[in-house]
Amino acid sequence: MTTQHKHPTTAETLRPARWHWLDTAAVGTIGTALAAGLLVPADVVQGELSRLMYVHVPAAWLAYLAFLVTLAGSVAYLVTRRMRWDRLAAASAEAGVFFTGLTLLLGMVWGKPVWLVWWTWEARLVLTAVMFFVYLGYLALRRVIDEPELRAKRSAVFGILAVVQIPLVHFSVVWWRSLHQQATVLRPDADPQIDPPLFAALIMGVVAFMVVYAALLRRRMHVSRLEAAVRSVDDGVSVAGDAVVAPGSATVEAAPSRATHRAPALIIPWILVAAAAVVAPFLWNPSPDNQWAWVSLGYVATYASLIVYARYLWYRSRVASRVLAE
Amino acid sequence: MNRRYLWFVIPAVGVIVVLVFAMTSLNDLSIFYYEPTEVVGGVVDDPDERFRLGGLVESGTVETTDAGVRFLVTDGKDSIAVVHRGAPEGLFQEGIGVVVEGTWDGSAFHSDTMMVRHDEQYRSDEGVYETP
Repeated sequence: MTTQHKHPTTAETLRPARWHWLDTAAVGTIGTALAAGLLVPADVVQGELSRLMYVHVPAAWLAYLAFLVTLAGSVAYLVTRRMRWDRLAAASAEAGVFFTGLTLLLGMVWGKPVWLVWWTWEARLVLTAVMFFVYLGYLALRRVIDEPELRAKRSAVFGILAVVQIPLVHFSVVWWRSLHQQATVLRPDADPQIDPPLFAALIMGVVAFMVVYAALLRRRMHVSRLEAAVRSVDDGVSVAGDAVVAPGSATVEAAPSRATHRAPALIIPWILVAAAAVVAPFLWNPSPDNQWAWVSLGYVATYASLIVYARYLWYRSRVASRVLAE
Repeated sequence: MNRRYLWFVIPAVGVIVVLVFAMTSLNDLSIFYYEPTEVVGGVVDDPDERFRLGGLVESGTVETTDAGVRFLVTDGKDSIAVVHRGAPEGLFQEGIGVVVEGTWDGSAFHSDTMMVRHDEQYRSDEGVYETP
């Protein structure tokens, strides 16, 4: 991807992340996938509601993939003790929590018109919700420990242990009797139960989500580098000597020693989003037969949350680089 | 204690709440619903106990009633008459999977909550992609 950053605080890394070809690819593929999902034929039984599969399933698979990358980053950190692997594990876990949340949200939007319930206490749903909160615990752990090496070590152990949930979630529909249907594609008999055009739309969705994930991961790791630099400034550590010239040509050493710049978590907006998700069904609840309303809700929720998360990463990188520039 | 430990509150409460609801909910996490054969075999003998029954809506058995709908639910071996209160919604039709909640008096299942359970097959309207 980018050039290797031997030292995490070279002048280039102190700038906010710039537009990258991955960002262009993400916008392009997700646009194509949206069109494909809306244009392919509907399913015979579910009708237009089957279009929600093209966002729900990719979100679920990307959650699995993201947590597997966290596993890989955690193992690589423990072996090499290089912080870039820790940053990879952390960035991927955050993306994984995002995709798990999106999976749950889209599952509810799909469940209400098809199953006739938003939620029920069924194995696949329960285990997915548990996975969401456990990885939220991973992110919490990273905020609790301040010392970088200790944080990296403990998070790596967490990131390795937590991954047992992936087979548990995925095979819950095979092992147990559930409401959720069996796997259509990633099934034990490896015989996809889906017609070619619908399968093509699904694959396009998965590819698009993978590119979006890569773009988000790159931006998230850049934020980590910036914030690590901010913290070393706070600690009064000389960061990279005279080589570091922040934008505005003020040297980092000249930065005033301010109170610790904790990464903004923006917990209030997230709580508002969660509250809105709880209240909305009471205010807006179309009939299951109004299929396009549900499909639109799912697609709007998908794209809106991707934009919000990308904006959030951009905001964090701007905050950190401003602090460094002072 | 360091105030930063408060970050653990949301994940911990989340996991606990989900598990408590899952364990106190009807039936079991590993068996979301009983099948007609198990119910006929007497898996639930208390006529007041609420539980979930699941299976396919048997073709040709759906009749509308004043209070809702009645039909047979089958697992291929046994069938059970379901008397459901409330109008059927959405994808409910003959041959589709359903999970109903209610009680069984030994001859009929009296349900007030219905979930539709569809399978993992995705087939286009054209129907020209028959798998061998």
